[in-house]
Amino acid sequence: MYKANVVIIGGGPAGLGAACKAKELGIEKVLILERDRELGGILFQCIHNGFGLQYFNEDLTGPEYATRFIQKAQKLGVESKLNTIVLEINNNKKILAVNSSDGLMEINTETIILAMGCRERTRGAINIPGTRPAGIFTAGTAQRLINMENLLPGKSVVILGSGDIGLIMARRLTWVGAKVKAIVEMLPYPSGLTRNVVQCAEDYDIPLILSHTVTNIYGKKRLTGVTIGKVDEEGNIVRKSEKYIPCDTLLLSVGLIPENELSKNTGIKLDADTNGPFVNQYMQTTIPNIFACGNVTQVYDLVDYVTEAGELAAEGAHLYMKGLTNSKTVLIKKGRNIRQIVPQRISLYERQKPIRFYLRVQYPEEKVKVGIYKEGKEIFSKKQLIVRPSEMIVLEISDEVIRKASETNEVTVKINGYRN
Amino acid sequence: MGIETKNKAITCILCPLGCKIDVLKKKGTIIVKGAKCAKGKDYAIKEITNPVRVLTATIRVRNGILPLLPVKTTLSIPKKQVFTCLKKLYQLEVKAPVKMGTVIVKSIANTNSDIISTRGIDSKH
Ligand code: SF4
Repeated sequence: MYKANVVIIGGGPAGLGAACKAKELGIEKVLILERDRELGGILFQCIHNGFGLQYFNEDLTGPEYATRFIQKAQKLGVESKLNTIVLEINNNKKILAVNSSDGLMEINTETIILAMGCRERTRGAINIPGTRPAGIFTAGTAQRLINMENLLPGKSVVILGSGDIGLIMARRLTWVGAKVKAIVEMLPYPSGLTRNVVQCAEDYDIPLILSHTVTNIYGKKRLTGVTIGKVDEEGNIVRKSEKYIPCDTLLLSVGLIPENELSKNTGIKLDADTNGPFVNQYMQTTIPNIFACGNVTQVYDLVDYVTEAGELAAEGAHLYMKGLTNSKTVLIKKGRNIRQIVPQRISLYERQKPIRFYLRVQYPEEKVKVGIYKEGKEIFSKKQLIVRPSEMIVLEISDEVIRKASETNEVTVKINGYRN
Repeated sequence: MGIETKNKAITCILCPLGCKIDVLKKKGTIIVKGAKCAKGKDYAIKEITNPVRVLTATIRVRNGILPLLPVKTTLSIPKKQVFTCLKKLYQLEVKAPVKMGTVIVKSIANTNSDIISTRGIDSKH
């Protein structure tokens, strides 16, 4: 029987951020359980740059970002078990896990941090009519094959979805000699960051076809082509708009979903809009000794934010172990044009530090303010020239605003237009 | 060459506004339209005169626990050199173990930018 103060499930950027912070706060036994052969999560297959601009103020690649935290964790004495699968969590403190050297093991722990990350959505694929040939991959799978396994998924490629991984893969495929025929996006605007639209698609004259989707798949053994069609405002395919594109490979970059199978079996409350646990500012779930951080709570834009969330979860676990409980909770309600927000509630502690909200809008808007309202009265607002679903908004609120919010049981966050 | 005319639509990536900027290059003068700020104007001029990018790629590894080593340029290189550099990199093979930050190629294609490894790879045995 193993014993730990904190067990972290998942050794990606969220788990590593949490583990390092936990050791820095003086927590004795910190154990990461990781199912892969190494720590670092998805970062090792993300060989492109653009990581760490906020956290380190440096432009790093994914593997460099991961290695910094792995080395830090080793120095601080974080323990880890690799190739290890967590089977279940019992009574909120017993973890049942398995690997080939320890066999089945039970770990007793004071606190648990869920950091399982997310996985790629494939549902879009099942909804596409047509045959079921080889040659259809999620963008992340193709990324792993090309960047880590030295395998090329195909030579002539259509990408469905303009999320960041899809865009990055369009460039990567071009760089390894494949021809990317088109990136097809159902929405009237790209889903990925502008930087990626420019440097991955525009740079190589790859057509980014908006308001279109793949309507049929052809090929018996191997994919031979797809048809794409125009999508109207209601999401229906416009008749006679269909066009055939020959290709041997279709990549799907149609979104990510937090991976919460383990969370569900603990009985913690999940949020239907984020698909992740319902948390407070220290990433505490509705079970007091279970915390959750990173893409398991919501899909973030930047790994830097994921690391910060991991650090907050470790602080939360530390406060919990010191017996500091929160006295009161304020719920955060979603108002006009807010798709999702984390944290979903704030807990009041005697000593309060500023709180950061990470939110996404439902649709793009210009010249707006993002405001927090208490019984209809504005207690905080921030002007934004533009808001887009693809770029997360970060709101930091001070002690003073938190105190105002705490006079009620709920506040509403919404997007409003402003004049002048 | 001096009297070439180039017209390009550029999306600024410096801030979330993402201005659509039109750049017209004619007989040595550059006209920029659509940038909402001076930083964006400079960016647009750079994009039409000498666009630069960080290049990231992989190199084959012999005897490593993984078959590929990820690498990057230490500086941004001219965009038009990207494929020349890639071609050079694909011809290389390194032997494991390799440490992160190892210089694999000095000043690739005379760009003044080195190629360095972005992770460590242990040897198989
Ligand atoms: S031109 Fe200025 S305002 Fe417009 S996107 Fe670029 S940096 Fe932003």
